[in-house]
Amino acid sequence: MSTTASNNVSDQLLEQVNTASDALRNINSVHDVDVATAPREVVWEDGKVKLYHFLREDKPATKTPVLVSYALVNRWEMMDLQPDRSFIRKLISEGLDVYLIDWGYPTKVDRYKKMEDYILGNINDCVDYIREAHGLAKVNLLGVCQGGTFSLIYSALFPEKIKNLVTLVTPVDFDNEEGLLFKWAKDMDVDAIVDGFGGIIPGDFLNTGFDLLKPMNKARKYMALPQTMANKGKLMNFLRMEHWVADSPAQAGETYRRFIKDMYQHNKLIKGEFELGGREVKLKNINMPVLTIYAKHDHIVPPATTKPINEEIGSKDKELMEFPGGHIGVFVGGRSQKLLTPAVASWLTERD
Amino acid sequence: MTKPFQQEQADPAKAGEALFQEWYNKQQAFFQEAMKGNPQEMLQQTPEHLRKYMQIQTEFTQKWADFFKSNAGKMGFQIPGADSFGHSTQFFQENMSNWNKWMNGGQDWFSAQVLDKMPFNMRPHYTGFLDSYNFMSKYWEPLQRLIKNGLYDGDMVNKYFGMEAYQKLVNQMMGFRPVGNASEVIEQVNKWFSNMMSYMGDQSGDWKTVSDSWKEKMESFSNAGNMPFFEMAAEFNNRLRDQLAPFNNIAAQGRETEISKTLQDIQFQYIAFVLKSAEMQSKVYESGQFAMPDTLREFAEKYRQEAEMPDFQAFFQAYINKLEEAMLEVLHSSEYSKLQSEVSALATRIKKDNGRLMELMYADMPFLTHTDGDDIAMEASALRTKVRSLEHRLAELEKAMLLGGKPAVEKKTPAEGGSLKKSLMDKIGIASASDADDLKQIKGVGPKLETMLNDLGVYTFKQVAQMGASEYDMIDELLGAFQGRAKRDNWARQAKALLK
Repeated sequence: MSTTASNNVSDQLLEQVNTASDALRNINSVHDVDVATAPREVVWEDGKVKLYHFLREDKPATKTPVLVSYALVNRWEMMDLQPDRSFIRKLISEGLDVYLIDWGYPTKVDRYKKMEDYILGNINDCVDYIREAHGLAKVNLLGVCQGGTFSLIYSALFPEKIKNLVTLVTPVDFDNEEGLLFKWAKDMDVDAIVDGFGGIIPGDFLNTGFDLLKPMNKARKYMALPQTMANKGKLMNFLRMEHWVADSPAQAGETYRRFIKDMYQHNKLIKGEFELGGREVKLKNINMPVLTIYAKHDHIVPPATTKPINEEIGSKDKELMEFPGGHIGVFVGGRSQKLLTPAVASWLTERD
Repeated sequence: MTKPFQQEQADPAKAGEALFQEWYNKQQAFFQEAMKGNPQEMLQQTPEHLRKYMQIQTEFTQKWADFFKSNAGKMGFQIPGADSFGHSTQFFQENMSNWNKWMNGGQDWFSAQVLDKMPFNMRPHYTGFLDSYNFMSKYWEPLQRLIKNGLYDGDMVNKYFGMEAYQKLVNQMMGFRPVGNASEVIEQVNKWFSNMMSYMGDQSGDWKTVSDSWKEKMESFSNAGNMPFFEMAAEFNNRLRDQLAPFNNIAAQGRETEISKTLQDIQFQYIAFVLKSAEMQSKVYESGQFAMPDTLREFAEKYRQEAEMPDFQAFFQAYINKLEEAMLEVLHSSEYSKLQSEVSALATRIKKDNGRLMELMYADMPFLTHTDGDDIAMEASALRTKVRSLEHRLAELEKAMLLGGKPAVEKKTPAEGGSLKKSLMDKIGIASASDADDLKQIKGVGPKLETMLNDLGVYTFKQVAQMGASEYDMIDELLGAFQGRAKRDNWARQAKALLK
């Protein structure tokens, strides 16, 4: 616990006690944790799924709005966790008009919700809504992680509706040996698990898997907790992250089953064997400009699973961008605000 | 302020006792004084108390050093910490327990006053930390003594280098506790098997071959010095289950049979789960058993060279880094991956069978069961697909009906009021929750109305100050309630005044 350079035991003890009392004082003043504070309104909904339009103080600098499609796993609020490090807020301040799909919290009634329902249903409905609201034929699409894989599938099936595509830490080649999740998914008896859970995979189940990727991270995090608590700013950010980690929605069983089998176990998308609603999904049909971003030290979605996007698509205008950080750092790291988001915004603005 | 202790006594042991007694009394008096008042006050005064406490210690350290200088030779005193003074260990133990009492009181207060008031659902994480931290503090106390004493305390060495210690530590830090102790598991499983065996023993001769072959295998393996207990036990479990299967087909088909069959499945699956789980966890624990001695060795070496007490945090960091490295190696292995998938499949199957058991037992009760919920979910899914295809056909029809660029059917966008709200925001400007003013200061705005205004995006006096008659009308329409309030109470005038 000691941060003082002094070797004097009483100095160290005093330091600890001061830290502890600062921490107590800060904890006492916390009443709630605010995440996702960028102002927005719900412009469309279908059951649990909502489409947000982020509100701007001024007019956007670009004509074409961008639709953000986050993963089904974990919550989109990661992109707007802290007001000073918000990916969404930065996109807005860089002049983009931002929409985002909120998948909601699946319950038992969603156990048979299929990938068709998510992609051909929800994503397509949102794209059509934006096209109509803005009187445009095409919109920009920004997919994150699993949401990026969905975006690839959508763009391959509806290239006429997508002007530019950005994929962020998105896996496309699931035949990978260095990512622990990828290894484990291959041996997973997904049928037993989906049926055993009654078709709704609890968020905790996924969280346990993520925790095991770095088994001692919890211990490390909690070891540094007293110093974190003693600084109000650090404490709030710690609590925001903890809130997001605990806020893990359940997964609709059929979609989960399909994703594990067709992607992780049989790698159908990159092999060109994936079909959705009876239609073949060919990545070569993606012909619009594509920006593919991967995180150099991503241990959840290793770069080797993302980079092949650049080879598989049919686009002429395509770019591969490496971000010096990890899977989460891409959104909440300080470098993200300086390097990544401006790069995404300018890439889209150039191709407005 | 401190005087060197100069009084020499004929019997140095007695003099030492007298010094300890003085020290002990002074500390007792201090603790009594410090523990007055409620825990909250106590904690607030902690820095001051600590200062006083350290003063006492400094004073007596000096006295003790001087005493030692004058008397060590007479007592033949060589190794520091050895129990030459019959009372010294007792003294330390007693005072440590006082100290612990005080610290535990503080922690209980912390639990009740802070942890239980955490505002959102992250308490399991946090309580886990406190447990772990408590556990670690208790764990490190003797460890620090161990390091100081040069790693030659036999009991300590056994305590820290044993499998039990690692199991406990890893359990605590990773937060799972399904299987306690591998040897305990083995004992329990053996007991379960022999119970099953004796229960089945009277039935048919086939059982003899099963138990005999089990005994044979055990013998051959233990003779060879290789006993893959988990694999063998799992195999035996499966064979037992298969042997029992014919019994279930004898009785009449019916709910009772299905219930007993499900119960049996659960039993065997549970044993299989316990075995696989224990095997999986043993692999992880075994991998970490060198992390502690390696870290100790590393820091003992540093201590010898630099003669400085190791920093607690540095020690702990080094330890968990080593532990994590070792664990990751196991987690990356294919044996672990297969075991993990078997364990999770078994666990979820047991969960499902438990549910099934409940449904069978309460089949006549007026509850909606999982199966009913399933039917509803399937209907919902079919409807989604149907609606989507209808929407598609409708879109095609509309395209075909398009005349002169005007749509034939008026499409209503959902979330009506979106354009009205936009007009309102265009006029008064946008704010967010973090800029919020206390709108209740405006006469006529209570907590409910404030919440409704917040939901619309109205947070600040600055926004309200810009409202005019048409904005008041918009508010009326958007809120649906509190009609006419804004105009009646002239919110904009009030807001302007509040801005000053």
